[in-house]
Amino acid sequence: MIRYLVLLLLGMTAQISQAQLHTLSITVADSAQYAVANATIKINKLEQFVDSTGHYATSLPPGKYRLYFTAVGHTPASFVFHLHSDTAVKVILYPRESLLNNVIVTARSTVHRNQMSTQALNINQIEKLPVILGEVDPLKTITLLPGVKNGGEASAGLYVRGGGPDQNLVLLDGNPIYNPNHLLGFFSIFNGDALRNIEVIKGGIPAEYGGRLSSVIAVDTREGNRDSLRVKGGIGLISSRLAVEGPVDKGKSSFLVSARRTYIDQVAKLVAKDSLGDNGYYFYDVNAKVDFQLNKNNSLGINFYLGKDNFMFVDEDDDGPSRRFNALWGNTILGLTWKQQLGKRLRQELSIVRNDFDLDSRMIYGATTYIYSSGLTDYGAKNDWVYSPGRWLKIKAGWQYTWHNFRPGAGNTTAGVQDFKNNIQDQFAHEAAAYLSTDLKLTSGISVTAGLRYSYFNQVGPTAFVKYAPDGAPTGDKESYSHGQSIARYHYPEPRVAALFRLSPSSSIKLSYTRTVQYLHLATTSAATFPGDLWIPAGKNIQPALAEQAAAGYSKDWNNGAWEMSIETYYKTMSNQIEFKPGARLLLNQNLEGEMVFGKGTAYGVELFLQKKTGRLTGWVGYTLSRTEREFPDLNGGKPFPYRYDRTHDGSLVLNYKISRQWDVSGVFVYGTGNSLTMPSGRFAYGVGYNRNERQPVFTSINHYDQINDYRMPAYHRLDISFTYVRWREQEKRFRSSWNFGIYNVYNRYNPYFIYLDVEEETQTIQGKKVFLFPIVPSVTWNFKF
Amino acid sequence: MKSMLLKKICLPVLASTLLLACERDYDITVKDGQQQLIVEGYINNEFPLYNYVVLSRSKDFYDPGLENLAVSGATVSITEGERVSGDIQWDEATRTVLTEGRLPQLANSALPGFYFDQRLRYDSLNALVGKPGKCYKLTIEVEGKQYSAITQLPVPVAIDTLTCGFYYTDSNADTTYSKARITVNYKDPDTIGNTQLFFWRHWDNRKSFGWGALGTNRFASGADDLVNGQQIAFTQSYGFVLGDSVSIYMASVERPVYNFWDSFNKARSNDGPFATPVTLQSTIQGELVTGCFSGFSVSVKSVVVQ
Repeated sequence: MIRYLVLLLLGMTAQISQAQLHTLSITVADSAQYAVANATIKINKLEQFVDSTGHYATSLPPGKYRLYFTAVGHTPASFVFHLHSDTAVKVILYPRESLLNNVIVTARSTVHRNQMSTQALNINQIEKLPVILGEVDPLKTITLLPGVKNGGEASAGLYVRGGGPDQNLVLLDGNPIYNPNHLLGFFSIFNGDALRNIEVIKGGIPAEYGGRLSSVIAVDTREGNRDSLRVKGGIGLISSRLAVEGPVDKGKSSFLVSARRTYIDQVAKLVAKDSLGDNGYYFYDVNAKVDFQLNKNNSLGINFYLGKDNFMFVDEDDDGPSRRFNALWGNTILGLTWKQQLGKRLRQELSIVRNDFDLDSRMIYGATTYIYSSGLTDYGAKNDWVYSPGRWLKIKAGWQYTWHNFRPGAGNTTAGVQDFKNNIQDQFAHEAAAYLSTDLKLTSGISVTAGLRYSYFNQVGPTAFVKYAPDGAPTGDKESYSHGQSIARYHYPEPRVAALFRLSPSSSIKLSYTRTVQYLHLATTSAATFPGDLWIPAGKNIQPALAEQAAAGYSKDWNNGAWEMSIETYYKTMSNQIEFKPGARLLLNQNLEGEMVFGKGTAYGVELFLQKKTGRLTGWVGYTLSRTEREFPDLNGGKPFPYRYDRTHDGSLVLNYKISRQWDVSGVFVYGTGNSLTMPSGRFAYGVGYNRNERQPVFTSINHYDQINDYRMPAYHRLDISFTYVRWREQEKRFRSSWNFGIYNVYNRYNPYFIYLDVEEETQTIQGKKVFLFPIVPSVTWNFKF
Repeated sequence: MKSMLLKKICLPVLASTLLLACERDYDITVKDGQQQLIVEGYINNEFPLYNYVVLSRSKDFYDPGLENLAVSGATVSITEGERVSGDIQWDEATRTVLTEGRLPQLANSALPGFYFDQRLRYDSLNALVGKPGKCYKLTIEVEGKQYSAITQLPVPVAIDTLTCGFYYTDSNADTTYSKARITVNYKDPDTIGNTQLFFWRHWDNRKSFGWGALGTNRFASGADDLVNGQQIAFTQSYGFVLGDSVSIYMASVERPVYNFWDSFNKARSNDGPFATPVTLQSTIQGELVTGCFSGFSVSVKSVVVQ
């Protein structure tokens, strides 16, 4: 059963090149005519990779060649042909339908790919795995890969190789996302129905990416079907999803609109209206994509994302005033991308984007109403060029520019309490970068990628800073900058070098060195990501953060790529890291810089990865042994201390087994050393007085602290299982449905969300407490498509 | 049946999602640090009895009892001085020694670790009192070690009026009170950098002694970074019973004192996942010492809540 189609478009020009070489230009697409960006091509056993547009070009002497194509989520294809003139080949790979067939995880072989420290997951793989409440979440799934850690239970913050959660360049179709999470990180903003794949680059970051220190997490959405109208959806315990796609102009353009909304608030009101009162929470998000094939060489795409969270919390205290909190926040992104092929060897991509993040909140505390809003808006443009003169050389060059407008906070309070209206000054900045990178195959066994990125950042007026004394008191002096006047300007070269040494057809050694610069810092004091967290640009006193990473790895595959293993080690240093002073006030604080301390960080570790990609049983084992520290002159007496998310051991086991044509079972087991925490080293009474009515002393018990992060939370471990059922009779029909039954935390371990010490002044008792969120949680989701 | 199913499946889900998380006791072993001297010193312009110093020691975390471990037998003194072109000139003639002892004003009860000006006992009109604009130096000698701190009393800001409002009914199992909140109205001085702390005395604490025994606003203290020079209406979130007679003490303080009490307010209400361990912004010089020497320039106004 040959499930591929080959179109040979023989070159019209029978020109014979001077060196007796012919150009072989290959395009890999899927049945809907979309580029398969992650395909691997073997030409007479020599492995090559297509680029993000599915293209690959090379020059070869005339002769007979065997071509073999593989790609994640697609059925492999191979054929033999004779090259006797310049030839363009278009290969169509048929996707494996997740509802139809067993998913054979044919992840692209990474053994001979120059890019190291990277892992890609296809949405079909992600959808099979068990997840909390049945919500498919790619950001959660990538934490099952070595080197990528989450912050703990229900935290979507990602910590890559010792870096902070703000050091990941999270891209949705190439556009940066500032807050990739819904409420407190329980769910990410990525809706599985709209996605195609997700890729993480943990080291050896190529020169075309920049602006964040630790990683690139690229999430790509699907394009709509160009041939017919299709609907896909799912109904779950807490949310439902619906995606509609189809042609705008048949065969030439398509649209895809995908939306989901949680209805936990509505269900909650039905079940327990009395106890829940007005408390509630929901989010929705919409992904839309329209693409046009203008002609053979030009295509245009429009991407849109809108997500909103709405959180309401009412606390009627017995002994005091009530607390009400209402917050509404979310991202809005609109992007336009033009892709152009200029001849066989040159192509370019130009995109423009507007990116918004907004938070509006209203807090009523007793008599006080605080209204607080913050956000940012970016306008960006980027242009990338790729030139492939031969199979030994590929040159990439490009530039990007972003205009940032940060709105750190506007707030006012109403109803008597310190009536004021206030605006913290907006901040503005230009961020730009240009890069040049070459992929050079020196010999058949050695390839080198060498790139240089040059980045530039300029914070500009208009603004007027209030000057503060070291004790935090405003001095009354101001420093004013006019419109466009530079406040602080930085620029850095960022070299990126990677080398690949092919030891045998199935094994290689890779080395890389990168320097990355980050001009924006996320101001947060809490463990959970909160929408009130602020992005702060580098300025007069806040230096940009710099990181340098060296990594070395060995990879090998065997059994025709059915098994793959890799081992990597890295060492990373980070400078100008920011921490906030304990108890720092972030909201409506015009002296945020006064609340910050600056220091450096180091991280090092070893990552092991073993994957089985074919057969009834597929899956992987990942393990990381690592250490990450921070050193701040103003913290911990200047001595280094473990980073909060320092995790000595971190392991995961992911398995998928095809039981029968109708049933699939997946299991995930994770284990991680507990987070490090600061615990008190003593206690004292303060605010001491004497209550003569009750004839007893009055005081407040206060903890004091010595060492930062020298306490370890208990180890985190958990097993999840899910079963997927597809009715066999439906599998050849247009309407197809499947059921996903999941059990989260199968052995009901109470993994702590946080632990704390409860000091009761009235009863004079001290007791440690552990709070956990998710005991064993079953879930069921019904998915359909037609 | 349907509702059973809903409750069985949906409630855990709801509970998780709405953050009504489960809690269990959990033994946490902490590493005890070195013992610290804890200093609580006050100098104000209105109430001589409320100028005192409390010395105590910190404890190991799980030591029994939460009350203070009094430190007796220390040598404590306060000296007045004046800032002359940046430097402070200390007037040694004003040096007042504070000692432990029973005071008639406090029913001669023993308050170990509390150090007072003993003139309060027999010559209270001439007892130590702070003067706005002056600086004060606290020196402590205990077990051969020296500690010191300096504070300055700012110019007091007058309270214009106290107004009552935000009425509500506070019902408990056996009592129901009509309550109101008090708004303090004052004009912030034109110079930036003014900070205030608020205390009050009412029926519940009318006979209590010490700044720590007065009512105070745990949630907000005033700094004029964003509201400099404005007419301020600052409502205390505490609910007062209607008919209660309340005195509000508005203490203007210098920034280090404000910073200390701000950190104190953060440290006292600090647990949960969003908490960070707060270290008090101590103003005391010396080894292994924490605390604050607080200079208060107090304005007082009273109101009957109605």
